[in-house]
Amino acid sequence: MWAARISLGVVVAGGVLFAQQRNAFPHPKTASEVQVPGDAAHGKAIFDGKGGCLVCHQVGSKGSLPGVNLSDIATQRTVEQLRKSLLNPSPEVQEANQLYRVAMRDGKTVTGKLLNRGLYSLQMLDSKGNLISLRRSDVRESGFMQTPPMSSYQDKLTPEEQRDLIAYLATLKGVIGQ
Amino acid sequence: MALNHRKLLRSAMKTAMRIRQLFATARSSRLRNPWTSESPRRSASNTLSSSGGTHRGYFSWLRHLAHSLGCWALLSLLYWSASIPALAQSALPDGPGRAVVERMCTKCHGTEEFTGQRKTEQQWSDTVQDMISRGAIGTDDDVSKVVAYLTQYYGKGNNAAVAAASSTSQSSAPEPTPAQEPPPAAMETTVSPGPTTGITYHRILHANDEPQNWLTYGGTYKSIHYSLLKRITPENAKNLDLKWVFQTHRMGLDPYETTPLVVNGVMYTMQGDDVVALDGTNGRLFWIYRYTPATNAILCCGVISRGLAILGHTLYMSSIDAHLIAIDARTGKALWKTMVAPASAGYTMTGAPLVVKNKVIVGVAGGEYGIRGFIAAYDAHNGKQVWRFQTVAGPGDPGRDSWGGDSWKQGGGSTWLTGSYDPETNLIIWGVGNPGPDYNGDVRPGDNLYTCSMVAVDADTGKLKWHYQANPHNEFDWDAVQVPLLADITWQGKPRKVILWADRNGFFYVLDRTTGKFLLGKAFVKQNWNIGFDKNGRPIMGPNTKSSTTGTRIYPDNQGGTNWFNPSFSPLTGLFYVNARENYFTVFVKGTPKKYESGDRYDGRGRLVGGRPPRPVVGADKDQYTAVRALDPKTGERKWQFKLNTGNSLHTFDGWQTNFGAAGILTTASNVLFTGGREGNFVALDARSGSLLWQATLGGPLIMNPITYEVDGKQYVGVNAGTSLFVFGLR
Repeated sequence: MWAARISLGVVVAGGVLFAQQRNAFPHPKTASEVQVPGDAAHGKAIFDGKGGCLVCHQVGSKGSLPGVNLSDIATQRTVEQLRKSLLNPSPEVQEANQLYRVAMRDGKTVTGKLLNRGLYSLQMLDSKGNLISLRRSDVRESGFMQTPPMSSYQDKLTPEEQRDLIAYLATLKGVIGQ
Repeated sequence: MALNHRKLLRSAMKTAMRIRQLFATARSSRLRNPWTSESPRRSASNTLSSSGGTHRGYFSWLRHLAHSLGCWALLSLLYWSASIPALAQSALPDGPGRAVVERMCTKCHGTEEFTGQRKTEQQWSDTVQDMISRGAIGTDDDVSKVVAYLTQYYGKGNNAAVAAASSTSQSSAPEPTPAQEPPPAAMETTVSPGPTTGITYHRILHANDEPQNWLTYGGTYKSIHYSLLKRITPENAKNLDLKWVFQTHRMGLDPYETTPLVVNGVMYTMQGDDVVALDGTNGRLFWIYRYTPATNAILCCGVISRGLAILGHTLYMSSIDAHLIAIDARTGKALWKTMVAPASAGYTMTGAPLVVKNKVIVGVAGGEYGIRGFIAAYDAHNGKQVWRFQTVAGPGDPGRDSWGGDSWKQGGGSTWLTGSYDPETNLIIWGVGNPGPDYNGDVRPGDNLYTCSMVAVDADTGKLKWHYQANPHNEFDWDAVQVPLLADITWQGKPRKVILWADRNGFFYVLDRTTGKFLLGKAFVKQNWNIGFDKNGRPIMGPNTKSSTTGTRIYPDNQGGTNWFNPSFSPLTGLFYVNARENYFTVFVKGTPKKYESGDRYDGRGRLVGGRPPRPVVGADKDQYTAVRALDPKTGERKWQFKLNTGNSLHTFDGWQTNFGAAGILTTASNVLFTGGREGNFVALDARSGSLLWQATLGGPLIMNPITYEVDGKQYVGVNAGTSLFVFGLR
């Protein structure tokens, strides 16, 4: 009996030490924390031009509001996540980043990003860049739109262009990080 | 609205299976015994598929086929109906350019964004150009086609296209499953959509045209803290109720001195160096921008952030580690950051920036740490410095000879409070702080220009136009860092453009704001240092009014007869209102000044071997109190006062700064005056008489400038108490 208890204790202790050794909760490094190969300057040119990224995304004061603000995306995503978002974006678009549509009881509609939603009101950034607040009792129905997913850049960019674009995205650390 | 097709298919398949089971179960004549182990489902499946089933019949295979076909028909019907909302989204009238419109205009938003509008061709062209500036992509030919299409079908006076398009969408299949909206809220949360940004210099210049907003730190460039809103009156102020509270979540946020901005129902305020955008009707959060100051920031007086400025879509803030930061007001993302001065050398920034034309004007703090102060202007678009005015006259500056030796290098002259702007003269008028070292002037012989002064500098160049020094060679910590109120009054029978200013030294001043000429200096609290003014307004010091090593008792104390919190001028009553600190004194002891070291405190206190360095002894005499005082600006005579707190009352916070603070003062066009004090009482007074209309006890010191704004016809009043912002409105 005692042998069984001691054995169990040894197994448990060993497990704990093993987990600590292995860092049981590893923190994946974001793109801003690793060296990313590629020509970031060329990547920026693609971002601003051929890639058409500013149609939906914003970096600093440039670009458009509907998509994810990429100003500090390098501190939010790993390199692999950036790559997936570029090449197979549909599953990567988080629900919180999809457009939200509200149909009001008076017939008006509002489309934009949902920033906050409480029991009595919801707060949005509409597609015109206005911060608006709506009483939920004035809303007829609302929900996230199945917006046209971001197109894959698999075929639109060469592998070298994809690499350089990701290298540029990895430089987007926001103002304070630079 | 398009549906999530995957979810719909799964749901449809489940429904089909369920129908199939029900269909089979309904035809079964066998009673189900709930107490047996045989489940109805197993019975149904056995019935339908097993060769051992009860209803094996000649046409069983036909029934099976019919069931399957029926299920698929149901699935198809549901899938097709789910597609209709997608079609409705693109139900634009047929015509040349439709495909281009769909390609170019629906990538970021739906068609409903424009199908409900009617514009002229020029207006549609402007709209399309606006969309291009936001990232829409198209060739010139595309743009022409889009404009032509929109003009044809959505031009002014054309409703046919709208009817054609909307009829299709109205017959669409069901919208997505409606969110279960709660019943109408018991709380009346009025909200209003509308543009929240796009603030121009012109709008700030004419801020009184939109009294529902609070567009700059002082309310207007004149900083008189007088609102044109009139819904709250002396008659109904008793019906003020708490509407919402913003509780800050930062350590060390005491005192909480931020004055918010409000733009079309959106309130922008701070908690320390974080910035938040709140719904002005209920305090709900739009976004928060978090800023962690550098650890080498040196603070004399707590984590202070007095507020923001806004221009275009951009907010501007000063950080306590001496940076100017631009933030997108729509998203809360930082756009750029500029170091204004090195924090390691004792510089910090606590005031709200001031936007003038295309520049952001800022000041610095750190007068107790041997800084050389300045006012600086930065390009609002890129953060590059445009000009800098040194408030301590150095080599080549007028007034250099007012600093003996090299004492100008650590001359102080901080500029930590937002000034005012006079567009008629294009002057920025700003208060300048104490000289350094603060309490011992022996190392800095001379008048020490331009410390303890009000200065006026050209807004475009930063060149000094005039100054008035309230306290030459001061050793009593009497920063002239107060807000100059710009007013047009009748002075000796003639209209005159003046500055109304209540200084820490206990004097109320009237200056000509074009020339800086001294017009009046009148004590508004007990004082014992001044026995008059010469013809130029230079104060004449009384006997025994110099700091000494044995101690000199001076009224008012180092915190002053008033301090940085905003006074108010009401054009309606013609009165100047200030929160005055009565009967406070300091026994100033001159210590041996230590050698200056960058980043170390450098205020004229000496060292005692084996003990703490001496510091000014702040008296705690009886009959000390803080009160709102209404002064006649033409004479400085007091018309009435209302006490806010006594000198010896206990207070919730024991940080020394909050011991001596009070709220600023707000007056309105309905003759209501709002203010409060460190005992935590927020009061509404009749601005004509000082009689109490209403008060709320908020449990913490009030030490910021109350503001008022309006959303959807409801007027709100906001004030900080303790570490929270409280907003009130009529019941």
